Amino acid sequence: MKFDTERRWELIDKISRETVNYGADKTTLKTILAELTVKPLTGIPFAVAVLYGFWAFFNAFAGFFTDGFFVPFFDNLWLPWLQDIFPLEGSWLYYVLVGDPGATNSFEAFGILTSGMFVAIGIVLPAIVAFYLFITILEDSGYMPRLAVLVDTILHKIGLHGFAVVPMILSLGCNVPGVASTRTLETKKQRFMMMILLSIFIPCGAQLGVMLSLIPEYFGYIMLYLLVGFFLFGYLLDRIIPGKSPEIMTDVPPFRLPTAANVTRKLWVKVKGFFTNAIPFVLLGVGVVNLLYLGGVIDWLSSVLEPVFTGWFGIPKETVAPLIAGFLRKDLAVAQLSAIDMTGFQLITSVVIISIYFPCIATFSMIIKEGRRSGGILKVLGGSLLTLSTVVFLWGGLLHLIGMVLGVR
Amino acid sequence: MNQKTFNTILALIGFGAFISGVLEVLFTLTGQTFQWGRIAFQGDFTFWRGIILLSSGILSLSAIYNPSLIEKRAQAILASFMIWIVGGLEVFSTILESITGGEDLWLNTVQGFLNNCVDSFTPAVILLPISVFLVLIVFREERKNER
Repeated sequence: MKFDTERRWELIDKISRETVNYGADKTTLKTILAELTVKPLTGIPFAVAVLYGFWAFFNAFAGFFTDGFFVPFFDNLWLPWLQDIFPLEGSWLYYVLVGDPGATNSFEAFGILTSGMFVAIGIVLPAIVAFYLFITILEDSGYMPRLAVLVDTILHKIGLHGFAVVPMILSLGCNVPGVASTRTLETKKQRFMMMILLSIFIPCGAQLGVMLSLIPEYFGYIMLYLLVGFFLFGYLLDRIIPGKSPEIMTDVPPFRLPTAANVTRKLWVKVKGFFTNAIPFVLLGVGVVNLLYLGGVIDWLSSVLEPVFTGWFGIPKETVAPLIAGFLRKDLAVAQLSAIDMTGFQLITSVVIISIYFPCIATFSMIIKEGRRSGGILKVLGGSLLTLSTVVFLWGGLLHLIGMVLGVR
Repeated sequence: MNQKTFNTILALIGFGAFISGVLEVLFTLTGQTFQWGRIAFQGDFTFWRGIILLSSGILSLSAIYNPSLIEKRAQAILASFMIWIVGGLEVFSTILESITGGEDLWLNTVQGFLNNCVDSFTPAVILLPISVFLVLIVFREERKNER
C-alpha cells in the first residue's frame, strides 16, 4: 500500500494522538541551573571555576603523593638501596639500569630503575589518576556537553564545533584516546585538523604533571603559547584545507550525581591502560637514551644539529637527548630538560619545542591508524609531516625571535 | 526562612565574594601578598581565584534584586557552587598538605596537622559554610514547594 503525503501526515497524527501523552513543562530549580551553565554570561564564569577546580585538584592531589611520599621514598630509600646492592659499578649495564653512581636523587640518576621508575610511578602516575578522576566526574555529572555548547562559537572560528572540546580534553590526559575520539567529528577535514592540532599543541596529562612538578613557574607561559598556537594554526588550516565544517545539534542531558561505582570502574580502566601502555615506554625511553649516550650517538647528533638548535631556536645543543626521548615519552623528555643547565627562557622554548616537534610514537601510530577514516593513510601522513615541520620551525623560531626582541634570555 | 533573612545572607555572600575577588586580583597584579589575622591573600592561581570570586559576587548581588524568583535563586546557587569549588579545594589542599610530614617524617603529628590546618586561609574558606547554608535552604524550600 502506498500513501500520498497528506495521508501519511494523517496517519502520523493518528499514531501520535494514541501514543503520546502531553503534560505541562514544569520549570524547576535544577532545570534553570542546567540552563545557566550553557548561557555565556553565567556559563563562562562557571566554566572558569570548573577549570580552576581541575588545576587546584590536580596540584593538590598529585603534589600530595609526589612530594609527600614518592620523592622521599625514591630519594631516601630506593636509590641508596639500588646503589648499594647493584653489582658491576662502572659497567655499561650499571649505567643503563642505575645511572650515575654519585647521584643523590632519583631524578638526576638517569637509570631505567632510578629516573625511569621515579618519573613513571612517582610523578606521572599521581598526575594521571588526578586527571582521570576529575574528568570522569565531569563526564558522569553531565557537564561535558555543556562545555561543548559554551565553546561552540569559539571553535567555529577555526572550522571545528563544540564537540571538538571532547578530544581536546581527552588529549589533556593522553593524546592517544584524544586522536581516537576525533572519529566522532563529522568531516574528513575536521578529523584531520583536530588530529594534527591535538598532537602538536595539547600536552598530555603526564607531560602536564611533570611540568607542574618541575617547572611550575613557567607553566602558564608555556600553556599560553601552545593555546595561541592551537587557535592560530587552526585558523590557517581551516583556510588551507578544503572541505566542510558543518553545524551540530546536540542534546544536553540533565545534571546527575556521579556514582562512586561508575567513577571507580572508569578510573580503573584508564589507569590500567597507563600501566600497560605508558610505563614500558618510559623505561624503554630511558634505556634507549642511555644506550645512545654510550654509543656516542647523542654527542654526534648534538654537534650536527647545533646550528639549528642554537641558531634558529636559541636552545642549547644538549637538548638533543630529551628530544630523542620525546619520541617515546614527552613527560620523560621534559623531566630530562629540567636537569639541563639553561636560562628560564631557553627552558620555556625547549619545552614548547618538545611539545610541538613531533607527537610521541603512540600518538603517531594512532594518527596513522585513524588516517584511514580521514582521507587515506598516505594523505594524512604526508599532511601531518608537512604541518608538523612547518609548525615546529615557524612557532619554535618565533618564540626565539620574541625573546630576542624583548631582550629576554 | 523569611525574605529579609535570605536577602541578608545573599548580600553577605555577594559582598564578601566581590570584595575578596577584587582584592585577590589587585594583589596579584601588584605582586603583593596580604594577611589580616588568619585570612591571607596568597597561594597559587590567585588571579583566577579572584576572577571566580568576583564573578560569584556579581551573580549573588544581582540575585538580591528579586530573590523570590526561581531564576534568581538558581543564580544564587550557581554563585555558591563557584565558592564551593574555590573554598572546598583550598580545604582539600590544606588537609593533604598537613598530612605529610616534610623531609624527615612520612606522616605529620596530630599537633602538626592541626597547626597547619588552622594556620591561614583565604576568604573563600570563610564564605564556604555560609554558601553551603544558603544552598541547603534554597533546596529545602524548593522541595517543600514541590510537595
